Amino acid sequence: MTTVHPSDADSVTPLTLDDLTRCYEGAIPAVVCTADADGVPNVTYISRVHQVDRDRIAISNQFMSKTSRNLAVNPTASLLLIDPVNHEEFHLLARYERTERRGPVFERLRDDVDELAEQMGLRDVFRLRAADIFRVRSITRVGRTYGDDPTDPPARTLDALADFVERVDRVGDLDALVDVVIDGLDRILGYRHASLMLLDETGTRLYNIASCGFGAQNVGAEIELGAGPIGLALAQCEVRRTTGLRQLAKYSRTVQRSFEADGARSAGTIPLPTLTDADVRIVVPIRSLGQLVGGIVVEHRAAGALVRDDERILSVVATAVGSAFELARELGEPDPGGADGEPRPAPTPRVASGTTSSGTVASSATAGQVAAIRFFETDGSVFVDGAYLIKGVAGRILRTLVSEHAATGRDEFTNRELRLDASLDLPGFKDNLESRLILLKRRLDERDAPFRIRKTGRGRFRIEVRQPMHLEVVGDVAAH
Amino acid sequence: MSGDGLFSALSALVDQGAGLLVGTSDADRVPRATRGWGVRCDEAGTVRVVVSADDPLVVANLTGSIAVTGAEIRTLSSAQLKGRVVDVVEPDPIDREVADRQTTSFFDAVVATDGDELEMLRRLVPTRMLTVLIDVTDGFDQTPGPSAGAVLEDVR
Repeated sequence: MTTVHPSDADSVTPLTLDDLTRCYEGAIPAVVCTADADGVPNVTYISRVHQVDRDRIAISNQFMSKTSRNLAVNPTASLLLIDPVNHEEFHLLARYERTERRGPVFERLRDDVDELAEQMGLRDVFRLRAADIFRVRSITRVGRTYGDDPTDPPARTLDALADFVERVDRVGDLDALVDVVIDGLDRILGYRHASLMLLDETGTRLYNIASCGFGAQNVGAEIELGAGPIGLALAQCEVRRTTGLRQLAKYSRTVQRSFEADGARSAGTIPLPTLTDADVRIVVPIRSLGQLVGGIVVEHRAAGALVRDDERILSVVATAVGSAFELARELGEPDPGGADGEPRPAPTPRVASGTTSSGTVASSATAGQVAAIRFFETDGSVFVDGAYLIKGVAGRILRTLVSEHAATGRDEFTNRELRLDASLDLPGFKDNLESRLILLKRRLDERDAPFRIRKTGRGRFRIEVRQPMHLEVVGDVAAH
Repeated sequence: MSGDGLFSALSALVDQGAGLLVGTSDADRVPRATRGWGVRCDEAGTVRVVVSADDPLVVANLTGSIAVTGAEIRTLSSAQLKGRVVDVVEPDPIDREVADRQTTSFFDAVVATDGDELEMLRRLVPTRMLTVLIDVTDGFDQTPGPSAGAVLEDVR
């Protein structure tokens, strides 16, 4: 066992706080031991130790009332940290210096607590009280030296990043861009679990447009901007890498137990694609002209698999995607001088509130089982054979298209005529229609729905009805 | 007070797979943490904790006050016993059997819950252990949350 001081350059094995970087990821809880005025020790787990500078560490002060009382009378602490990759263990002897309730260190620690609070849904009651700062007097290795583990993640190369950006730069179509981004994250950059989210037309919600590595893509899953760990990071427009997710989740479940409701999920929602056992996550905002337009989320099960370099790589990725996204959206609009810009007559009128209408569609598809389609006026949600499909603007678009097809047999549509349809409740500025159509198209494909959308030209598309349908439109008073 | 009543709060956690922490302090009240690898209550009602003897400073501290915390891996439910060291001995066969069994439960829980590799966890096992006999005086609920620090009643 060797004991060295953090700044001792003459030491044979000069362990410094910088050598313990992986220990601060929170993948394995640390241990803190203090003693009271009589020398009676108190020992407990803490979720994480943060490095402040080359000589100092910080720990968040949440429920450690005894630890705090001990430090007030005896400002020395003993800590145990484990490297999550090679499981080498280190002992730190530290002297408590001060408690901070504001400032950059406090803000860094608050991210952890905010993540927990968001996981627990206790944002207003679970807050970081203080950050306790310690000066480390000695670092001791406990046990043997094992060195780095061969399972360290391969470094992502600049060549791969250049390849990704080049591919994104060549795409002028939004739907194709979504495919290129997800495929590139997965196969070129090696982010096996990734999702691409877009901000909706109201600027208050984000919806998942595509994902990889989560089993189901869960296209159309939504989160509120500012809610939950992902929504919070994107609302703050910050790149955020969160480590030790498994420990955070466990800790939050323990604290939350007394607050838990039944946890039942509403029938009309799509869960966000995530790894249930992820240990690290990076959330990166996608901006265009300085405005948030979406986000990229990548996760990994292994502690240390996503490091700080990945934050930088994904920032470059998000910048490229943001520019390409804006360009693709512009190109997706109909040519103002072309025939595709001609508006069609207004689609089928909506049923009045509080009423229900139904009928069987004599669609172009005459064979096959009749699919039961229910549209709910209240929130635009659509169910196919009892299974939730989509809601909101995308649901209303679908209702318009299917109703029009049922009434007239028409299957060719333009973006422009949808914009003129007041029943869709599109905002007049930045209506996000192109993105919503892509969302709808991808959701229909994912769910193997009885109708599909195919792009036929700039600002034009076709609906393909693959089996007979029975349509039912339920008014506002109906519950589902 | 032998502490066998308070011990039940800790043993309930250890049976489920818990990490054991041991806190000590020297004559100058400088604390020193280490890990525990087994805990039991003998026929006389004395709590016996198997601790790492790899850290000479911890071994030197095994003369006065001591704290032992058990934290269940799956739920983080935790309890802490405090008391005084009454003796330090080489682990007897029962201590070793208990330590082996409880370490296995601990590692199994970590592998199942946190996904660590068993081979990596085995790196934490010390090369030498000692058994500390403790006169337990107090017990506390250490589970994270608003109730952390609540006094545990001796249920004897």
